[in-house]
Amino acid sequence: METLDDLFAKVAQQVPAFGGLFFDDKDQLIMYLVEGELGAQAAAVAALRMVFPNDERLAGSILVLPGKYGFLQLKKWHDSMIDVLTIPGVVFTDIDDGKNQLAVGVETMEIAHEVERLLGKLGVPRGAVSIEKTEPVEFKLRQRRRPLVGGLQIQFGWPGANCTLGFIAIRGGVNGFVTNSHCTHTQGGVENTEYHQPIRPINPWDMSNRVGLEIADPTYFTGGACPSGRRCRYSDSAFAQSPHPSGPSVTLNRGYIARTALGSTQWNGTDTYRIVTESEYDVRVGDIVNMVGRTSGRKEGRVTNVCTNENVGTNITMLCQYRVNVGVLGGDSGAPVFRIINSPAPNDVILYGILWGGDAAGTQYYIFSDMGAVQRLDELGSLYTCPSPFTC
Amino acid sequence: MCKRFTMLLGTMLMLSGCNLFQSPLPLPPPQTTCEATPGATNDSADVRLAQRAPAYGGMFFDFDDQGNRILYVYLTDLSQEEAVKQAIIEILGPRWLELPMYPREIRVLQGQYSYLQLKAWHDCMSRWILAIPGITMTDIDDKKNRITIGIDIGLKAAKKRRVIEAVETALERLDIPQEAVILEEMPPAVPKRSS
Repeated sequence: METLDDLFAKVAQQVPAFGGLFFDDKDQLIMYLVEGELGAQAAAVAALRMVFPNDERLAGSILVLPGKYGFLQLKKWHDSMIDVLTIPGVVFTDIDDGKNQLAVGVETMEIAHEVERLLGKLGVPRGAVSIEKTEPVEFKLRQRRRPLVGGLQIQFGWPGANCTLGFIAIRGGVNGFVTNSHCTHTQGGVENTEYHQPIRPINPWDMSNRVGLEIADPTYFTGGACPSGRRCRYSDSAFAQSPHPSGPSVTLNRGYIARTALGSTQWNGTDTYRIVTESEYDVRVGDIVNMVGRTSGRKEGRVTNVCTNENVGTNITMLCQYRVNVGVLGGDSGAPVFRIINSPAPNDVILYGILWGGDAAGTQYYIFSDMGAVQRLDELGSLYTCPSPFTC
Repeated sequence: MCKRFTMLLGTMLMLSGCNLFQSPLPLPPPQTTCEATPGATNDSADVRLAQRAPAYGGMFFDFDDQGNRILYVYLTDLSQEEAVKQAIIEILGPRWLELPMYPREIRVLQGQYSYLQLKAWHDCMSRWILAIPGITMTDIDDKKNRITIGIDIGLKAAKKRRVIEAVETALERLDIPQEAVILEEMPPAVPKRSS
């Protein structure tokens, strides 16, 4: 399978001045061309369209920045510096499309001179490489994980907004996962939001992390039980088809949630909770429940309110929600909420619902929508969330 | 004579007195009657319990002094204890009694309001109260045998007073006794996604 670097190299083979491409934080597409060869813009755009046919993002405006290096040169140097990764403390090497240079991530700058020495031996000019201090790779909920399970970080939009994958499910015969309605481009209604796990890569053509496509997010209703001047729903839920219909392939582990230590986002990739049944309006004040979110990790708390009506922002009211006496943080939206029952086997759980909100400071409470509400006919409808042989 | 809330337990406020406040806020017109609002809430197990045993007033889990997990149940008429216990076992038992962590012991507490009464009031008032800017939530509080109304803790004093007065007016027009309602200051809920 061709990597994105391979595809960019194809563009550069046609237009050697091409130095890479990226989106800035205002979603503006920016292309590097080697300084003095800015006249190659039209040829570069044509080559991009040939290598990435039918990509609508190339139809918009493209700004050009003068770069120092052509992409082929950067790739040649990058391919030659593979042994840099053998130096203890080096975390990654990369062609940094946003800076038109190479990058080496190190755990501590004390090893920078060792990296520089090896780069010199390999003939890679020091000026073409940025050596940056970075966090070591750890096994966390915020890293790339396959198969997908509940509790992992997902990202949508650009710049990417973080949410948590709630749980894997089958809806109307379609495989996918559930997250929050407010973790889509627009809360209520389907806008084909694309999801990436763990992040949407900086390069717009890199689809390697794409895991899903929003296909269900009921609109908010007015009238009836809804207060005047407000829009209501019974659950903050949306369903994403997974894999994305246009790929890449993604494996799903239905019925499983990442199992971490209390208060930790560290996950070894194998420990899981197994969903053996669901709660439908069976939650009681005093129930002890757990959640697993990409920011807070796993937290345990007690249900303090059942079936509350909650005002959110200026005009949304969530009907019949559930409060828990534990604070959570931004990014935990979508987290699965469950009760550990250890029956019939250790780490078996009852799926209670999906977390969506809490107090702004993240110190007092969180709120979740119950599975009964998520599966109302006017919400997502019936879902299959358990692994075989369980039937929920 | 004026209606007003009095402060209890730090951030908790309880209704008392009466109100002359004429508010421009969206309020029920005078003599509004409470009618059932279909689909307003989904406490189906509670409703089934209450239909079987009308004295039922809500339930919650807690621990006793020895650390045992107990299910506490409010009753407006303690003579219905056995009927309520039987209804709980029949309606919730099949699932609850299969799971080892659920309590085997049920203790009854004297309640003032039946669940059906609280639910009728809550369903009736919710759409009016939640339309008042500054209100954060409404709930049937199973642990207190009351209705709770949340008010944004960040409101300035003058705004808070207006909100409280609007709540008083709405409750009066809906003929809901203030003693059945607890007004509690709390931070509003916000979505928990991050950039």
